[in-house]
Amino acid sequence: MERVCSKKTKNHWFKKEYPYHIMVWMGIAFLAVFSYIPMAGIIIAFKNYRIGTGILGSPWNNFAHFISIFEDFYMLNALTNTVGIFLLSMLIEFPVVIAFALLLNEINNITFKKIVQTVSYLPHFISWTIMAIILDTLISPSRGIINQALIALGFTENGIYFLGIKEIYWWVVVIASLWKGLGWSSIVYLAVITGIDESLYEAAKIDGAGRFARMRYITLPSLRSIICIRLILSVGSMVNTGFDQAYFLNNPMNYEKSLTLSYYIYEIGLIRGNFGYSTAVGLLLSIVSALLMLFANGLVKKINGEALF
Amino acid sequence: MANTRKISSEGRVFPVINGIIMSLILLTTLYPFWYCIVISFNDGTDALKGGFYLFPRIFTWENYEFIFQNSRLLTGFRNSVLRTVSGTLLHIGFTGIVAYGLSKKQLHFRKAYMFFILLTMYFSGGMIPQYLLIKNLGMLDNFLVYIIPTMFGVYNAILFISYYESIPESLEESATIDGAGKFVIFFRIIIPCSIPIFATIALFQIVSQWNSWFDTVIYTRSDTLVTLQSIMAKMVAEADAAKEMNEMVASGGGSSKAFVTIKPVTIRVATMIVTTFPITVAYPFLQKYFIKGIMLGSVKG
Repeated sequence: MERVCSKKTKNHWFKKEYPYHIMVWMGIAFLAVFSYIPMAGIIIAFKNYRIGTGILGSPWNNFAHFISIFEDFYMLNALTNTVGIFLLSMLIEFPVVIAFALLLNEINNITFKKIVQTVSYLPHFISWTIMAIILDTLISPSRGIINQALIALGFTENGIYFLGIKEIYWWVVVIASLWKGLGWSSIVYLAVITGIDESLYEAAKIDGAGRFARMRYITLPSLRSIICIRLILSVGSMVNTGFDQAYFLNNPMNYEKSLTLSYYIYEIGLIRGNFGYSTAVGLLLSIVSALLMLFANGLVKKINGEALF
Repeated sequence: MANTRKISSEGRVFPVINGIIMSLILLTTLYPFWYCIVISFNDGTDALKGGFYLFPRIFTWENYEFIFQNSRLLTGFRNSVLRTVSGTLLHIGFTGIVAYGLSKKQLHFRKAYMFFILLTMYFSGGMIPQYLLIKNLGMLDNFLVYIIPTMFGVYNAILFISYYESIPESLEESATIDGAGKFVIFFRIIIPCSIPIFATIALFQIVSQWNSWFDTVIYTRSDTLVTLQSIMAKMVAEADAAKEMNEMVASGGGSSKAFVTIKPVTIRVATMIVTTFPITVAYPFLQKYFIKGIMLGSVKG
């Protein structure tokens, strides 16, 4: 009797819920194909993959790909560039973006503020393809307006080929990325600033705190947790960034400084056709990036008391 | 006394300096765009001379005439529009409906489902396994590669879920009593109640579809599948260092070699303007949706 009853209630929830399960299962099926099958495909990192024999037919290679990663000169090169560009952009982008958000918040004229916001978000919506073309019109040695200005001012005679000087390549990328992302990255900070209790500022004003004192002691401390979250997220995505920049801006002259890890994976895999090695590098990097994120999270937790997870 | 004076001078000087800084930012953001527009209307040989100018020195429609007569660029434009429209509709429809199922808190196995879905945000097979999958699915060199793999987005699904959760249960309950099925409820009640989130995610998707170029480069070969972005990606990749050096020599020495590169410069920029135009023009009007979207994401994430 009891059994029948429980069976009935079981049927009952299923009858009520099954349309939802159908909806969810469509998504599950999609991810099974487009995410989980490629995850299983990682085994080619452990094999001598040949297109003819397929994934399962290819022989195991005793971690040969992973061993060669540590003997690969370009790998070290790509690692240095990825970390270098990342650190440089952290050093420049974070302070500038936060300063921009602070200054934007101080504008009293609403129309002007709206205009600055709208315009500064704009470059976010263009792709790096278009960025490369804009950059070319700016820094091309013969036509670029920056070079024209330098020539006019007498700093150089024939124009500087910025992308051909490997020593400054990192700066070119970081500054271009800053130009592209300044406004958009400031949105989150601005939102937090607008949410700060107005009475805090009023009280500080009465106590005689000037504009900068209010920024320093009220606004900046309120931004602390959002800054931490942004830091953790960017550390986690470090190894995946820099692909587009490397793709469009690399040339034989700056290759040594422009090769990033994400671009290197593409180059060995799809240009040179070494599928197994490329996958091995990719796998190692995603493990490293997960570890980095956990590490950054732990560090922030220790300093700040709270973190992302 | 000294203190009050300091505040008042700070109060007067600061807004001016701030205004100047902001105007400079406005200028450095806008001038490159304006300069590109100017170049796109300028004569090709003349543009090679470079220089600061606010308006075309030698005005011409030539570059745009070239673009709109070029069959490859027209194919690219058609494909860009096609993938943006169909890809976006598929994405919001599919992700929206999957997320609706997931938004039901009482759903059995909900935790397991969420785990299965969220895991894909942190782990992926990487470029090569993805490529092999697309190949084995027969989607290489196929228009479907633009719209099928982008049908579902985990991050957007989370945004949908959080929005659905804010819709009052009673709305659906009254419809259930009237005998409507879950799918009917979704289309008749949930979608009309969720227009803002659908609009926001559609916009994000429109931008990402319109700007995509990498899938075209790695998954397709035929000329019939090019998009505006992939055509430009090729243009950029072809304008390599050697050409750049040539150009430099040519402009300095006035050699006839310069003619080889004249066309591409102005035409490349004009193509870029055509490609950027739809988004830049539509964007200021849609700005509030974008910002709402990014805020939703940052609150949840």
